[in-house]
Amino acid sequence: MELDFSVWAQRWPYLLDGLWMTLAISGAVLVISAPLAVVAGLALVARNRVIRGAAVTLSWLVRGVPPLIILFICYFVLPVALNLRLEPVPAAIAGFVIYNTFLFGELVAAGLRAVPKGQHEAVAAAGLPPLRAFRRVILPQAIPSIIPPYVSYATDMVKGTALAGSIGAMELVTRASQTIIATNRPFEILIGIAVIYGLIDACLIVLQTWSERRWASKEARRA
Amino acid sequence: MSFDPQILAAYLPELWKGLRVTLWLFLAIMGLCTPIALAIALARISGRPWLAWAAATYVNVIRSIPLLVILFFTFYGLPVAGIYVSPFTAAMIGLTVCTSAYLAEDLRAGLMAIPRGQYEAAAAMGLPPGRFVARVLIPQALPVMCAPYFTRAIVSLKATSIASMVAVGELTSESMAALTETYRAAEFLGFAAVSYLVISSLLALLQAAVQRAVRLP
Repeated sequence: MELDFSVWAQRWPYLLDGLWMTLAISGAVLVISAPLAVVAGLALVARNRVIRGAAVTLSWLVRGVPPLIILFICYFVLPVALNLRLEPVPAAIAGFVIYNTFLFGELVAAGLRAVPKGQHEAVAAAGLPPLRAFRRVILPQAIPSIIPPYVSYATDMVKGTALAGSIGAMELVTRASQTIIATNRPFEILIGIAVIYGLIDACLIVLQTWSERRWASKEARRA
Repeated sequence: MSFDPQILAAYLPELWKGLRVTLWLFLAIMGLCTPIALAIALARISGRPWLAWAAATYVNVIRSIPLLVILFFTFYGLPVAGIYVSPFTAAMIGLTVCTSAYLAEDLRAGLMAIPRGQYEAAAAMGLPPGRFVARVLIPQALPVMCAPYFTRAIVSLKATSIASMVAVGELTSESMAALTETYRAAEFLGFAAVSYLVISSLLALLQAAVQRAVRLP
């Protein structure tokens, strides 16, 4: 068996379109699920028992089911239940957002639990309005412990978008598998795809190192 | 939208077969991954530069590639390389390669929790390395490794669903086959979702029991 990477010369425009699709889905999921995860995280540590119970149950449901099944539910069940038309890409984004909101939400909850209890008591004693207290005191202290696992989950999320092909979203891996079938050159195509994902991963690791340093230095300045 | 769980009865043999394949696939990959991941984790902390480098490279390369791409390597790639295996075996190899890299990192974190002095004490007493790992390192690391191990097990249980994309007739793929025949999405996807939920919840219960059993005195 000999490797012949010339297949990439003919097929790269088709595969490049897939890369854009992968990046677009990943970006949309990150942007939409980040604020939702903060809400989910707050609900998971809420003092109100009904809110907390609902959040814990939802999180258990969503995290106990494979992402692939959640995608299928968003594509096959949701449109019928809500009586709307859902194209593959929005359905895929909806599925990943549902899954990642609770995955990230658990991180946010863990970060919030790590903020010392005295801080909550202090903002209450100082009479700070709850929203401002959360935004200016509690959240900034939780962020340093949330960022590193968040970026590592984000890299998993980007790789997880490969599943979107199962409901017809033409992202990178789906196009790769079609190219493999058309050319019977699995190793050349897959090695190339692996390199592309490796580069995306490397970018995110750089981002993680940078953000860790940034938030850590802020912590140090405060101390 | 109507929900008619009776339709499941007609497809029970297929769904049961899919559920069994999922369980076998899961048990096979966990059985294979556990010793492989432990070996990789030990290689990373072995202190031998080339061994640690090889293990780190394996872990970092595999973890940067989507699982589906690894499954395509074993599913499309092995036959081209002249190795013919069933889709089940191809998926099992791919999932093992992937999970062992992630599990190795989880286990390494547990091994790193053991104080450096223990290594020095063992070396000073002339304890052979194999004995040291089996009698000193692992018993102390078990309580720390337990939770991440089961978390990883639940992730890999859910990951077996991706084997449906490389022609393995497991739970997700049998549910999808029934869905395309009957157009009853809610019933069959609901069945699959509940099945995964039950197995992952049982694993969480097992974790609590194991954690109690390995707690240090």
